[in-house]
Amino acid sequence: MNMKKIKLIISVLLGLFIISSCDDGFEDVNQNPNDALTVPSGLLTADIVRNAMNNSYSTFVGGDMGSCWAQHWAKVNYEDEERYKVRPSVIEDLVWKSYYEDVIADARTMQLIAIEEENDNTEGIALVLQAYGYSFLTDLFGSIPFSEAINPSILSPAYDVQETVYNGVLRMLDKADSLFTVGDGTINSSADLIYAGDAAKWQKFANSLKFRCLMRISGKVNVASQLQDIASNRDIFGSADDEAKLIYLGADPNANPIYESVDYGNRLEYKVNSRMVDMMADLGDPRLPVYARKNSDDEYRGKPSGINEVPNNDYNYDNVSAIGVKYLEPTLPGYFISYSELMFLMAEAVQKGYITGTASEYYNKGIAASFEFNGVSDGFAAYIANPTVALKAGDEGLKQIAEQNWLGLFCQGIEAWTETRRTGFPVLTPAIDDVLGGNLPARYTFPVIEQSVNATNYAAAVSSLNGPDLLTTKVWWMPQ
Amino acid sequence: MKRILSLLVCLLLFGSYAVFGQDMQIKGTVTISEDGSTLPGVYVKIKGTNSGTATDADGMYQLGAPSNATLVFSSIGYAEQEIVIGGQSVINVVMLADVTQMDEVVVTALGISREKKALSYAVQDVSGDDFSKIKDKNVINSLSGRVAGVNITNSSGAVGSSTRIVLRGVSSITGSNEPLIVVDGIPIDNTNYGTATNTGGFDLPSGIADINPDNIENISVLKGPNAAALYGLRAANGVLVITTKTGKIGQKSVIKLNSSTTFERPLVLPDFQNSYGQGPNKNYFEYGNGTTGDGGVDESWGPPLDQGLEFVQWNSYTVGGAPLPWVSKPDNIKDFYETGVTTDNSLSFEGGSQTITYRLAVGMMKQKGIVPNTDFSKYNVSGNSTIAITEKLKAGFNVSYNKSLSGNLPYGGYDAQNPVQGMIWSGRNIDFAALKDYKNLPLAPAGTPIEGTPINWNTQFQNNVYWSLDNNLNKLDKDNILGSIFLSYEITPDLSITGKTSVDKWSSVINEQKAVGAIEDLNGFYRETDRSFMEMNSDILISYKKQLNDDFGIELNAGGSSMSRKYSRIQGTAPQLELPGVYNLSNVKSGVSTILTNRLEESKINSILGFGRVSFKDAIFLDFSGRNDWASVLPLKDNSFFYPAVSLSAVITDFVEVDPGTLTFLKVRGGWSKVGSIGALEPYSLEQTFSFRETPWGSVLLPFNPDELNNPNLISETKTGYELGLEARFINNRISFDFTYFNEKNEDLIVPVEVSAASGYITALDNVGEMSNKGFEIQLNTVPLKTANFTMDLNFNFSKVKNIVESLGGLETLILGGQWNVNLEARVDQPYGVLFGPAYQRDDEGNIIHEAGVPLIATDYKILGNIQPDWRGGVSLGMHYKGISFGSLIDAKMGGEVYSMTTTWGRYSGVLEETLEGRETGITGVGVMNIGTSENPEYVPNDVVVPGKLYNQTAFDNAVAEGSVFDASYVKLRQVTLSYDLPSSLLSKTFIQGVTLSLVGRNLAILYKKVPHIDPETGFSSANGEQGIEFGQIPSTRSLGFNINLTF
Repeated sequence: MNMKKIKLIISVLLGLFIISSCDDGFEDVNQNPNDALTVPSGLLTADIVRNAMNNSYSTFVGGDMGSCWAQHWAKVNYEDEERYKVRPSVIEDLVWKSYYEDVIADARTMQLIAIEEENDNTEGIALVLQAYGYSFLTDLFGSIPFSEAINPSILSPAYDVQETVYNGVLRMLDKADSLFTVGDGTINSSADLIYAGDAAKWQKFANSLKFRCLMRISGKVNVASQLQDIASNRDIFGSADDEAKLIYLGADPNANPIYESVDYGNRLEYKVNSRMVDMMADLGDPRLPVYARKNSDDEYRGKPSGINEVPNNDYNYDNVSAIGVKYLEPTLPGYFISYSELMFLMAEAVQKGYITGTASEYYNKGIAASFEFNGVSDGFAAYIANPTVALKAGDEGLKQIAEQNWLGLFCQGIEAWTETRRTGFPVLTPAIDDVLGGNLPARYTFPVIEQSVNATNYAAAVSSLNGPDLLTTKVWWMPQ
Repeated sequence: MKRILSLLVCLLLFGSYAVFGQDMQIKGTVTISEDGSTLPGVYVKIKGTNSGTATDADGMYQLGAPSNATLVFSSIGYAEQEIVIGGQSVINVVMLADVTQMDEVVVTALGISREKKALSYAVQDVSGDDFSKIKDKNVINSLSGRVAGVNITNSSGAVGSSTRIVLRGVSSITGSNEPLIVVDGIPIDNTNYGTATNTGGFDLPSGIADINPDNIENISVLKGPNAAALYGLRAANGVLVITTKTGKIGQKSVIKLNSSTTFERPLVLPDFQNSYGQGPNKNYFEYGNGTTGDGGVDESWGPPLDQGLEFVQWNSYTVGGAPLPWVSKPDNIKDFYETGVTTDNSLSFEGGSQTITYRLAVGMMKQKGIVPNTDFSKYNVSGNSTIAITEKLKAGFNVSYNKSLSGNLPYGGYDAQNPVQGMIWSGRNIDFAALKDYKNLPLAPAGTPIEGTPINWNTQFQNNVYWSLDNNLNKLDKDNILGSIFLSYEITPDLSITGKTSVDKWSSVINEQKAVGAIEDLNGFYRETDRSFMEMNSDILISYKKQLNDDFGIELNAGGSSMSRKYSRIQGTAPQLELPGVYNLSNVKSGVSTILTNRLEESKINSILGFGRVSFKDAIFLDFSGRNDWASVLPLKDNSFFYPAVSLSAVITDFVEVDPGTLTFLKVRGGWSKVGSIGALEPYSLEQTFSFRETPWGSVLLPFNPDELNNPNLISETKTGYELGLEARFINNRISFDFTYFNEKNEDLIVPVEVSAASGYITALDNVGEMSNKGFEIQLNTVPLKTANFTMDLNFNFSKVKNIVESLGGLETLILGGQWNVNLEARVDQPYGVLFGPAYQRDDEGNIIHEAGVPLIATDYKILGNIQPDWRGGVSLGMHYKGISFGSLIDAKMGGEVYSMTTTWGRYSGVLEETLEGRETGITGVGVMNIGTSENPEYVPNDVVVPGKLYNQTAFDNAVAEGSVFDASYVKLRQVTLSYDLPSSLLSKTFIQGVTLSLVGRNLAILYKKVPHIDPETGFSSANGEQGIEFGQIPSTRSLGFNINLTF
């Protein structure tokens, strides 16, 4: 072999190599074959709705730190949270992260895509879901990121005080109402797990939610005219057919989280609370056999909140009543806001003079809706004829309204607890072995992770609260 | 297997033909001049060729060579000798000690052999002989304690457990920190595909464990970026270059059988208390149905044992529901574990002619785990050959087929399927052995969660453990083929070209089945995961080598390389079963959907590279290299990266006249390099996309915006570093010392930065991390005693790395993993792997503050420890007397912490020995209490006595971690072997050429540790985020057995 040949071989080999090297075709190689670059806006609805309900109905959230704190439920084992010893990881993962990342962020993405698609109705839905998410979070934490939230260029957003958040939420709901009024754009009905594509019902949801938000802040801000505007001029829920709820499917993992945890997951320590059982027994409430099952002594027996060292002879798996079968059904709906709650809020608004109307009418509608849901409508007439149930005037009536709303919110843990924080009714005694020095919890603590990933804003947020970052610090709308 | 064997026989017959065709056979014995003893391992080469052989244990050699050729005899520490054959058939050689010569060869990057003398960076190698007698299930474990700067962590004693290996310190925050592993030039996929995390799952060994350790000739550890620089973008974590055994030119064909059997028992078990039984209080116990009643309490705060008490217990059904004696079962856990048995057999056939070398091997390893009904097996079939087609043209191939099988891999972590969980949440009176015959036990009572499955001492949280291990299975079936071919041509004596193509192709099927009634999947579960992987590498290299004059020599190499990789995963899950016992994806419960997911990944790296060396007087060496990589996973605009390296070494003793009896050899070396890594970057991490939830809502698709913010502007991670080294040998090589200092900086580390979820993302990918590793490595090898018949080697290695996370791009911390409330974090200004979690509240003097007799828990998290050790070291001692050899290895890791949830939950549940304190009298917590106000505290010693249960359940709980953070130091007696080579005189009349019998032991004892109840060497898997945290560890095993090595 002469040198010429050798040189030729080498240059051909190297040449071939250099030609084929570098990055020819790399763009195609790195094209993601697994995921979608974009999706139609409406297709995102289902996952947002599902995540919102899954997390608020999780027994770690709506159970341990909702129904137990509202004293609907009590546990006969693992009673830490019932004694107000919270698990920071639950607050961080199931509340903060999932609501921001899986609910609000996706709803915001949905809104942006809908705007591009010029789909007003879907944009409206996206706004309602964001408004719901923000109101849920601010009710739990107080200050939360809002104006700087959900922006890929701000990875450490500043917090806004609760009043600012609520103002923003109300604007979102107004905007949604006006978008639905225009009514352009189709809704993906199969992905719309709440209303199957009925824009009119979404509009009712937007306005009913706005009513609730206004009532929430009504102790701080004069919202009477806005409430009256809704009551007089806007479409709101006319019956339980309109209410905003997710009806769960029959099996794991798309079943109601209460079923998933208590029944499917065998967390049989979840029982009913004596505060509720005793009140219902006093009222002769026909919903009691629906809410609770008889214990081993064939009685309805609740357990007081937060006893350390259970199970014991007084309170154990056998002698405390379990949660009623109806509420452990896989298909139990998850509520954004129920018709009966709206009725009680309107009753309160009338009672307080915010809106015109007859308080007892709304009050009775609220009870009737709750009775109907629980399949005890037969007992309705007798129940409201009971002098302790029949609506009274003034403050006594306000207490009745709040207590009936509380009863109606059974298994809607967060909302039930939040309403007790707002109205102060029913009067709750702190857990027996509480760790808050005889106080009731007033909020959730901020997720621990914010101390590291958003430290400056976290510190500012804490100073914007009415006190330290503790469970006992009251959020802005609470009576101080 | 039958077919494989017959194939092997055919191959053996074929191979033996190749032995013939020699010009003549020459044999002889090599002895040393000092005392006339025989010298094994002398390399005998036919001059001018690459053919040769080596002397055996008795100093004898035999090879075929042309009768007019010249033989070259060489051995470390001896002068090379050339002897013309001149027709002699017996050539005996006396070797003279040559204190100045050192031609020991090590394998370096790209598989290139280099004289150790000429190396300008740290490379350390381990010979296959060091672990052929006692083969760990994963060859990587055999490196523990042998090589300075190599950090090995075996996760647990479960069959199939993974092993983490890190060279020097960690280099990437979230990307793999394990080195690239190259077997015979084939980069292999060493990813861990197990599901093990701190919350359950089964562990799987990574790709390297597929290799039969018996096939390994040598493992060369390229620790730092200088040594590994030629691997460019894949070099940041160092490289393990593994060379497998081959036949040698002119080697008479031999058959070798290596057989070992070892028996395994748990090395460490928790110290349990044996004084109190199951239940919530010590007055009374009544089983109930195991859910309600005290049987539902999976804790040991019950009545005292062995006091003549009797209570109704789970097995009272045997006596018509009457109470049974309440007695302790001190060995209930120990007896639960079975004796593991591992048999490992390898058969090889190797040899060579003048033009062909060959080696064929089969291996079979079968392991029965200490956890009942767990096992793991491996089958290996491999062959390699090189052929000199012409004088200048050489070709060769290397192929191995490796199969891994398991009928059941145990679960670890916090999951009811982890059998150890059921020992920590447990009653100390439980006779586990009585549950074993579950087929003949009644079923759990109706209305209890585990209804329909065999009865258990608790029916609420746990299944009968034996039933669970027999019915909830995790099966593995993996096939792997590694293959390569090469062709090399010597264009001129100075210039050659080599082309090579290699393939790593594997596929695996994992079946996970959970029976109906399994506590965490009451309706049963079935999942099948099929994966396939293929990586193909093609390389070309042109080499030019020339001694320019007496002083200067030059070597230049240029080449290119192309890598392409494809991975696919298809997974089907039946989340609930309709018919019990039928594990098929179609057998899904009515109303529930089968979940199907798949993922495809493809990536490519193209490279050109060049490297060379200038040598002066064969004593000063300047090495330089450069490699440019283009990687498809990076953005097109920024996908090209250049990685240079340069290093210089000088053999001082070649220039300075010294007495070789004192200072035999002295070399200094130093180098600088820059290498890269893709880090945590997976394909398709640039653009934002929508993913789909695995389970749709009925028939409604659930797309969602993923929680990670991708980044189109990412670049590769970079490591730059320099290292300085000194190598010295004293007293005619009786003492050798190697010191390396290194200083490495890792920059642009790709980090999924945890961001405020309020941004809409949980993490955002960015090149923000910076981390440094500084440290040194010392290797000291000595031969304290050496006589004609006796040799003693004593070797030490030591390494210390100071790792610091320098920056996280403005973030203070990044969570890598953790369990319950404890995070494992990368924190700025701290070594990688901070344990961060809730601590006790303390006063200004550091006393724990108590309230109502129990410790208060601080509301904010604190640094509780760090998992990085202060230093690691190893000591090996070898003694050889005639045919008897003794070897032992001690391995130490000192410093660093571990968080042991076994202590937390074991104290909470009252099963551990330390919970006996204060059972009767109560506990006065050591610390203070506040008798002032919260504004003006006044602390006095705590004097409030609280019940032991309350104290333990407050001070040890998921709300506080401090009490369970321990020093993770250990010193382990890693290995002891005692072997005997039968004298050749005994075998001379048989067809057997050599017999070695050995008694072997691995992981024999933990000589020192501070963490109670567990082996401090622990991890849930080999992943970054599963280190330094522990719960329910499946105990590591002590292994004892024997080995027989036969040569025919």
